[in-house]
Amino acid sequence: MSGLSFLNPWIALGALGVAAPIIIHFFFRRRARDFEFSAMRFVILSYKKVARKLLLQEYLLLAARCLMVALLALALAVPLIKKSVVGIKRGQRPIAAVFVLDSSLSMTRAQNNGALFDDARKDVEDWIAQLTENDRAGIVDAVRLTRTDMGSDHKKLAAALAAINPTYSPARMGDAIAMSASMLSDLSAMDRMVLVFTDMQRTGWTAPASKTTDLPPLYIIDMARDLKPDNLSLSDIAINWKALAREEAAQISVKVHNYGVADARKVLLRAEFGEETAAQGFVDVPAGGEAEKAMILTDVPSGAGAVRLMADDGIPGDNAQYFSLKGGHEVRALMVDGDPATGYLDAETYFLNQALNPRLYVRSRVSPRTVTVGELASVNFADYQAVVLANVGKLGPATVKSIKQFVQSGGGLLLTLGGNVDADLYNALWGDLLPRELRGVLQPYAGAQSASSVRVMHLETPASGAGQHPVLSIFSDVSQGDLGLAGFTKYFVMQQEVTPKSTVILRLTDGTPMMVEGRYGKGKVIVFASSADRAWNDLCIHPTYLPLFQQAVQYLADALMAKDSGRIFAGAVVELPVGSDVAGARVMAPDQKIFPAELIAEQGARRIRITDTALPGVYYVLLLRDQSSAPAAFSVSDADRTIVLNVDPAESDLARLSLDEIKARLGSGAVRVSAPGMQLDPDSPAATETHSYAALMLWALIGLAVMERALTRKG
Amino acid sequence: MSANSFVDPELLRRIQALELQAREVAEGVLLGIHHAPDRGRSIEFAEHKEYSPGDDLRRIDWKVYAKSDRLYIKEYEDDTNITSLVLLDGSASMSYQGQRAREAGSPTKLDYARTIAAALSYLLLTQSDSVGLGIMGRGIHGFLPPRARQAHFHEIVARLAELDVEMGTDIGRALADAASLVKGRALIIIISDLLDDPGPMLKALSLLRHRRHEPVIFHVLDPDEIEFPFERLSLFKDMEGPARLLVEPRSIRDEYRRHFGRFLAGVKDECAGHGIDYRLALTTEPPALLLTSWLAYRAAASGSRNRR
Repeated sequence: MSGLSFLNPWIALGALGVAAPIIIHFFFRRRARDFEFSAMRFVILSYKKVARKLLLQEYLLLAARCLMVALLALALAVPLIKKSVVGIKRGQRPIAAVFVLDSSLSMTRAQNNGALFDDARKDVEDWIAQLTENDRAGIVDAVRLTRTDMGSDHKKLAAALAAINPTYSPARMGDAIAMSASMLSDLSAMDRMVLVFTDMQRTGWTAPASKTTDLPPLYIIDMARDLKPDNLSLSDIAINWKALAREEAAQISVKVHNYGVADARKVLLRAEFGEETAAQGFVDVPAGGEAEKAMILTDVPSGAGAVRLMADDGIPGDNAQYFSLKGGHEVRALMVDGDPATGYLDAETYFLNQALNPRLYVRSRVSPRTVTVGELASVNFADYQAVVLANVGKLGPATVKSIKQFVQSGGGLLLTLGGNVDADLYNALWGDLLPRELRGVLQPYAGAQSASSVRVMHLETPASGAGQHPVLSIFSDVSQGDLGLAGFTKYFVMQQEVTPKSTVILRLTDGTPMMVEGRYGKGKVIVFASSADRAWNDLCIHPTYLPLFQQAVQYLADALMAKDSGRIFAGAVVELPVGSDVAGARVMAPDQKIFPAELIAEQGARRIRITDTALPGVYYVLLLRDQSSAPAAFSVSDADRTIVLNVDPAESDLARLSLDEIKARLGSGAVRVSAPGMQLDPDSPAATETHSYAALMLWALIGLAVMERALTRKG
Repeated sequence: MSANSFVDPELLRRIQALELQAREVAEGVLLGIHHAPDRGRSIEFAEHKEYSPGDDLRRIDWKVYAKSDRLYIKEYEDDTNITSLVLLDGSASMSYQGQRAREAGSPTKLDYARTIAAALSYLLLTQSDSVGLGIMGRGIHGFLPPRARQAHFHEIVARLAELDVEMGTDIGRALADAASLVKGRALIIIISDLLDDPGPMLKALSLLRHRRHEPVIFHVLDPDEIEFPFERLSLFKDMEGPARLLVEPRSIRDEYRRHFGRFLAGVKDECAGHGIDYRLALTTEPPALLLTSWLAYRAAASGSRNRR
């Protein structure tokens, strides 16, 4: 069966315009001038000689012009010719078929009354219905790379098919086909075939991890052959902190791509927190191009948000980019000076005070108040979010109890050590509040134990990345300085942990923990193993001192600003390093579903692995110190971590792969592209291959135009 | 058009500077610059010739015999006048004036022909030759018999001035008529575009030659008739008949040029074959230049014949 159809049938009516050259030729000839001429005999003689040729030229010209009009109209109408060449003939042997279903995001594009994916699934259902009990079939999900067993139970196959849903991820077509080939490898006595139901999007056609040598005949059913690309998408969301005149703000920038063939004008972008619109703006995106849009969020909120592209386009699933923000708040910090001095430079808390509230230079969200040990009795700890004990020695039991209660109820405690601190006394005084027990003071020497050969130790420069402690995340910005430049000559050594329960924030280059975090009740405790002044190190004269202690105090007070702009793509396996005290984790997906995360402990380090990440959006992670206390539900505010997953931008690009390119990527085997509706039995309504002849017609049009020009010049 | 407009004083002055020397000997008796080849009847000594038996004894120069003891006879040159007939083509095709000629300020073919005719008449009359005039149409009309008086010039000019074109032409018949109108040998100056059936026309020319006339043809053409430079779609109408043809000039240009070139070559060859003096006269070419070059050519040709 073959048939002609048009992508734009109304334009094809323009072919009736062929009448125009004919009408012009016969009824509106060019106005000739009257001309009296003397040598008429020669004019007539010459005309008689060439009259036949001229007449032929004239009709050729007329035909060329008519044809040009018709071809132009037909080319613009995009003629499609369907050829009935793809029915699969059932032979003598039973059939072994694997149906590969592309469940990538691009298959959610709408066509007719449903998505491409729905059409593909319906096609597979039809195919399964054609199989007999002697045939064998299996189904492969080209995104998840899941497969069924080869079987002939239609109900099982239908159930497996129904369980496959479209995803937000790209397909891995090469691997899916390789998997199909392996499923058929033992069935060489049957007529083997692989049928791939896909939109032929370039992104999904990755080469298989390993080349398949025994590739059965492959039929690609192109579900999107008549669809024009019409997709807008968002990508590369980025958040930057902005210091405005009176407040801090977050600048959210995002790229808008137009993978369609028409310009997109005044596309509305909206930054949302929950149901609230935090900012919005318009952007123009040229066809095939991209544009960047930035929006400012003042009064930075905390929580999960999204930038949404408010447009009716091909793939709605990639019209959002998710992020999470945590706005800071004012922190009242109490600093207890354990070694007050008359000279302010000698005071233990002088440098800390300057670091936490550098009023002259920048705005700080920390308001420190300094007291002496003697004044502690009159302090109401409930007025503060963080307490800093700077080189504080012995404290009264009531004070210690108050501080412990303060921390237990959610306050933050920073202990900086020094000459007033005695390890045994401290261990006894604070007990399990200390992240680790103190072992004693160490003053490293280079060789012989003389004062002149003190060895200066340095901090290990923290590595940036997903596992970075929040206190150190600020140092990802190299302009904040290099922590490794500070020199340490004296510090406390802490107890090695058999069962890790604390988190080392900073280490010296020899691995000695220098800043350690522990949990106590609802609160956090950080021990800085050296002095906060110049007595044991020179950190306080380095630019890194200020951000380190600002961040530490804000972290302890749970006031650290945080952002996550979702550089991980939906569908990826996410692993998070966690403290050694973590016994498990629960994850809340964007659809509110709560599921456990896998805890992995390797070489003393622990991490959680989250595999069920199909949905883009914000995932909340609740870390469990005790597996038995796992709650059935938890609120967002209880979450210890957030993970933001976004759609892989590559999936938004609707560029397609040609048959030749597919063949090149697969390496071998017979590959044919067909339209939806292909049948097993060629006698049933046959499927068709559709070919567009628009380009051919345009070339013919150009050829005719050249011919017309030549004839016009001659005539 | 006034009669004086055909008589360009400058043209005439330049033409007077040259002598019109006929190629062939014209019979006549008027003394002038036209030398007759028949020696012996004139009083003007030409040269000595060695005596040979049969020569007239009265012409023996005895003085030379006395000095050289050899017999020579005297030869004398005798001046004669010439009878000329100017035949002007009065057909409608002669009124054609091409676009380029119009833009260059050149005349129609007819005006050009009138100028040449008048100038030649004046020249011939100035040399005491007799000049007649005939207008060629379907025959000869407006005929003025050859006369040698100066007043005749005014009649010729007046006839030329009042000349109007007529539809249709038969140059062959006109030439045949002209041959019968002139007695004796004559210089017959034909000024025409020759756009007629070439067969009878060439036949009539050969008849003129046969009757010992000396035909001279000034073939007057507009450059557009040769080059056919037209571009726009045109309805060509025949100036001498009902024929009409709608045609894209570009489509037949090459063919036209081929045919016209063949026609020109045929006329030229035919004239050369019959010893007829042929000059192509383009209306864009100054008439003075045309006549000057023609007269120079004739003088040179005549000189070489005399030397022989």
